[in-house]
Amino acid sequence: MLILLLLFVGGVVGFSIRLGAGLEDRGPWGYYAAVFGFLFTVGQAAPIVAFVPRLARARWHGPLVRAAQVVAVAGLLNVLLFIPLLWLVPSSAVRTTIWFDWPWGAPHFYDTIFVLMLVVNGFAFLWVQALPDLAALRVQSGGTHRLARLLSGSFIGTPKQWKVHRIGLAVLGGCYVMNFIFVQSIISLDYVMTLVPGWKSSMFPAFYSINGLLAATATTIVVMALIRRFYGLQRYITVDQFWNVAKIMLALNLAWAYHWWSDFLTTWYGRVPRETIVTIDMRSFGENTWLFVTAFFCCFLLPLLILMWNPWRKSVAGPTIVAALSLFGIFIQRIIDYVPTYLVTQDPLDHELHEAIAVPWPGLPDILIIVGGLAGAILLVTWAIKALGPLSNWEMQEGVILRRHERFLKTEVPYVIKPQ
Amino acid sequence: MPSVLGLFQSADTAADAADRLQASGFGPTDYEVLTGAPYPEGAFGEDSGDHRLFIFPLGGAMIGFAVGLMVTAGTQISYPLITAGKPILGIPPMFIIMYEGTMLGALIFTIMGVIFESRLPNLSNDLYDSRITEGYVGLVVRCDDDAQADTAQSTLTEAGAEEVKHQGRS
Repeated sequence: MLILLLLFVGGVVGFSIRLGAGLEDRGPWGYYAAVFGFLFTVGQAAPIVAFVPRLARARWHGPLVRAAQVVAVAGLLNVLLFIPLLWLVPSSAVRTTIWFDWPWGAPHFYDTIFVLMLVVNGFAFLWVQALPDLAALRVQSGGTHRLARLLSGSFIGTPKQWKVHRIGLAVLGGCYVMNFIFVQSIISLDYVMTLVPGWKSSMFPAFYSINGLLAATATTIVVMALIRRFYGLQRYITVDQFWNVAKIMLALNLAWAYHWWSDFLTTWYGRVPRETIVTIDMRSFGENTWLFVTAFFCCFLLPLLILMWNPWRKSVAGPTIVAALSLFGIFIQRIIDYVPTYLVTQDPLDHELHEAIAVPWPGLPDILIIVGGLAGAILLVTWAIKALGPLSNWEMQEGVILRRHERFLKTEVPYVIKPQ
Repeated sequence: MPSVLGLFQSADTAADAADRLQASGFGPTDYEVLTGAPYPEGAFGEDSGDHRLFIFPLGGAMIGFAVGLMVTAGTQISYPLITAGKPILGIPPMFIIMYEGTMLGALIFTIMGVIFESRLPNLSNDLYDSRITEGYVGLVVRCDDDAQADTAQSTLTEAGAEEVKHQGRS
């Protein structure tokens, strides 16, 4: 914890150095924006994995719920990281955006509300999910645990409270998924695409959001693996959870490639110079080829080659390695998205970009910001896991209650009750 | 009003106790089941009661949509400046704010709904036992008088309650 805190302080130092040089020139802030983009993708995405299996009435998700939802607390850092971008990025009046000629507050005022809303939604979802566990903590501590007492009110587990709890989770989870995709798309438009003259792609917001969904599964697997290892929860978090999330992750790895390919192929075939200079020369095979190839290998090729084999997919190590690779690939992708974009000095209203921009090596302040940003997010998540516990106890208990073993012909099989 | 709490180690015994309570003249609304994890609705033959949680997100979404519409259409109509021949009310940017207004309203009202419908700020000091959070099942019987409380206590004890607590008896 102390090391993480020191690294985070280092990040604050890096940020201060950047701030000392001013906010007028957007160029040096590219890596900072990439860190925001990455953490906003990773931190806000994971709770989706806690919701979707519940919606599908899958019964394997109980042990992974806390690992997925607790990442939402990184949203606090995301809100702080977002603030300087409001000064770095011009209003919609001087560029072509989805806001057209909106009279006031576009995009900054509305985007701030969107970001805050997603973060509040994440916290609300986490709170409702953890409510029974907080109530148990309140009772077990004899009412002395202040946080549990404050957050759990007088939840005692009556049938009506459980019913309201179940529906509350469904509504908040549904809102979260809808908000997530929408906010990611808006951020990709307002803080990336519309800063580059001539860059018009209907695929980019979808590609940006797909990165988010891939990050959701990858983050959940990584957090789950760490919790399993450091809390010694091998009995509770089993290969079942890794295997099932890995299947969804593999589908998203393929979707990542498909979305990139759709964007690339249309531009490549069209051969319109103002499109190729951005989509191909700047973002794929041109100035930043090696970064793109790294992202391609980490987000698609290596995951496919590893997870296509059943023994690897049905293991703890296989999905964890792929998840770590995917997260690294997404980080590289965010560098490609943000760093050259912020180095563009042309008027965003120009017809086309004159020159594809190469991603420069990060300077010392950038490295401090990258490491500090990641450390800050990990610190928040670690603190939240300590406060709430690594497992959702009530979901574990529910899993035990609803699972039975019965004889079927000459073998014994487990079956799970799925109440209507 | 007296109330009696029976603690059961297994859900089967608790379900059996609920049957016995009904046989002793208590209705499904006279007792409440307390558990540390959710059981399927009606697993103990209890009445889980009605809730209006669905109204909250729906109402919130409608209010949020209305506010979004007012902000977008209202401001544009109040200051009708035609830019480059484009319509005063442009649907794409209006949609963004109306959509988020709808979601924000639904979100805020859902949180309020969960708090209100779960009666989380409940100041009445109800009977409870910490063992319920460890997997025990509690049956709380609300009685009209001491005689009924005696009946409830004996029924719960006969049904196999590990411990019976009571509150509010004269």
